[in-house]
Amino acid sequence: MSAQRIIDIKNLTVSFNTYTGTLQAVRGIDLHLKQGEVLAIVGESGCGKTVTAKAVMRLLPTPQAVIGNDSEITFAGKNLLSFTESEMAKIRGKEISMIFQDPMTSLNPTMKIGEQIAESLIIHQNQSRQQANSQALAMLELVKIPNARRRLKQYPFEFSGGMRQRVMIAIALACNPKVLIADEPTTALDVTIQVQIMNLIKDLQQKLNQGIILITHDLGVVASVADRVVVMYAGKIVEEGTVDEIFYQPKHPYTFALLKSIPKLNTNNQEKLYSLAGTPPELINPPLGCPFAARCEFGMKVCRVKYPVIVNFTDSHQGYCWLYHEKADRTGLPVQFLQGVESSAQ
Amino acid sequence: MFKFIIRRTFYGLITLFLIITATFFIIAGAPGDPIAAKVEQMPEKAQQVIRSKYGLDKPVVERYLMYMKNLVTTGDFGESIIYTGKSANDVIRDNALISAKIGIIALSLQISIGIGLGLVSALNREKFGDHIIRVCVVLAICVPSFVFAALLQYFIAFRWRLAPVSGWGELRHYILPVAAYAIGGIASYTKYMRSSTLSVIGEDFILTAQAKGCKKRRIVRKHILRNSMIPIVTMIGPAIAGIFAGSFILESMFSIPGLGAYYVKAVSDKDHTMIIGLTIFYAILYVLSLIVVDILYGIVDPRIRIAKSEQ
Repeated sequence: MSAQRIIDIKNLTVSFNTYTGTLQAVRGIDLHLKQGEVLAIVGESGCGKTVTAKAVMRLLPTPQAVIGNDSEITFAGKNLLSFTESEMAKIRGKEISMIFQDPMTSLNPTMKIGEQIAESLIIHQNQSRQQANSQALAMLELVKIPNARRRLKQYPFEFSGGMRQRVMIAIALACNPKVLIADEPTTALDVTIQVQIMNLIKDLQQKLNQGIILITHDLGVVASVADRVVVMYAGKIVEEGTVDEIFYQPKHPYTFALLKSIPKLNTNNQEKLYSLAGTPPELINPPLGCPFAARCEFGMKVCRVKYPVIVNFTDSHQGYCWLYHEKADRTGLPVQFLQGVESSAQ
Repeated sequence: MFKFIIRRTFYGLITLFLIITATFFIIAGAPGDPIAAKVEQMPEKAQQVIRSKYGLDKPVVERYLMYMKNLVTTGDFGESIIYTGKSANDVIRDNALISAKIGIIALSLQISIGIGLGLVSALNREKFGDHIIRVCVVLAICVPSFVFAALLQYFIAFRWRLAPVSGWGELRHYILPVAAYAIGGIASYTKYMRSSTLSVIGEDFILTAQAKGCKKRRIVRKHILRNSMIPIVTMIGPAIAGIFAGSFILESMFSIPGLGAYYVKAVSDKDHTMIIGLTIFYAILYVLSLIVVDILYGIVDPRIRIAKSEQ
């Protein structure tokens, strides 16, 4: 029996009003997060990952960003999109927390670290300053910052990037939220620090049993921490499945191309690294058919004119691609595409 | 911090020394003679006596050394050439305070109202209130203060009889000059505060605060205000020096016996001792105010405070 869905997003659309027209950043996506699960959202820049995350937190800039009327973001049975701003403030930091990409700019430069951690405790749990301070100390120790007692009284500029991201994690987890949204938490950090931060997030997740939505374009990170993966492209979900399914049996040509572009240990130095030609479509006038069609090496005529229907490969594995239609020509497709397809997609 | 103040004071003294020296030689080298007009009608002998009284018969370098020696040992700026019997120190003591009284009130109004309006304007960006404030700011910056002074005198004093047109001595005499002084400053503080607040609002840490569950009031109070005041602190330094200087135009319009008129008159009279004396006075104020700003900076911005104490 699968765990309860803690976040359930239905038909989410987000558009931005710009000078040149309405930019459709997220174009009707469905996704869910189960309790205690790590869900990774991957995709290249501008595919709508961050916008989706900010929509959940209701942190999109208000007059410019418009969330569709029939969109629904359910958290613990309640539709967050119907919440007022002050109801939403009670959810943020308490039930759903978020950490951001750049730890160098995400902390208030004129406020002590301890105060910044204690702040959410004071807001949400009505703690006294003293209680909040001692819990802030415990949080700093939890995220493994040495000399925590002294560090509590320091300012962000006295911390390195990795240490600041630890502080951000401490802030996010202070009230023990049910969901943590991590928006590219390691992108701005050194490779060695990236591993430490991801291990920390994974450790704490197991300790505190949070659900995590991890937004990243680092597939290595995904493979090591995620349970399920959602692949986004041009504001749409193109494929969704468990880590094993996505990594070992990718079905969508875009997922396939993403995986192919990871350099392998046994790649020799004469070989050129694979890179996917072209750029994603612009989203002011998105293409009618599959947005990936123009870059897809297996593209067919139908791909450009009609959006593909959902294909269920397994209970947990779905994708949107015409290649799995019964009339599609499947000669010359990579072997992963065909594995298990004949039996499941009929 | 203590070490920092000592060091800054030392640099300040060097700056002062250079300013005094430069002023002295520039004035000494300027064409024209301060006492020529005064002594024209006198016999040759009497002219000689007066010249030697002010040391004007000696070579420039000797005069400079004498002046500096006198200044360092007694703090005396010397007797005015025009106002016989009155030293530059007397003029500063009697008149600077009057300019300062108006200046301090005006500056406090400028800073507090300016910061408030700037904050309101930025928080209501592109809304009605913001547009109104911005139009007023542009007007107040573009229109010179003496035009405001004249308008205030006409409407508030003459038409509505709410305050005296000019004069000095009573509390009600402050109303118009303070208002005329403050308007331009309020506008520029508003302008700076608005743009600095807007840039702080765009920072990532404001998003962090929102994601923490802070409500708008708390974000403004705890996260925006202090950070957006950092650039304002820079402006306050020169303003502090300016309040003692007074304004020649406004002081003469409101018949206020402040320092502004003396400075302008000293230059046109070629009153050497007054020019140098007042210049030194302003220079001291300026250097002091810069030190004050550095200390204020440290209070507002911990990055600077800690960097200083580590030096």
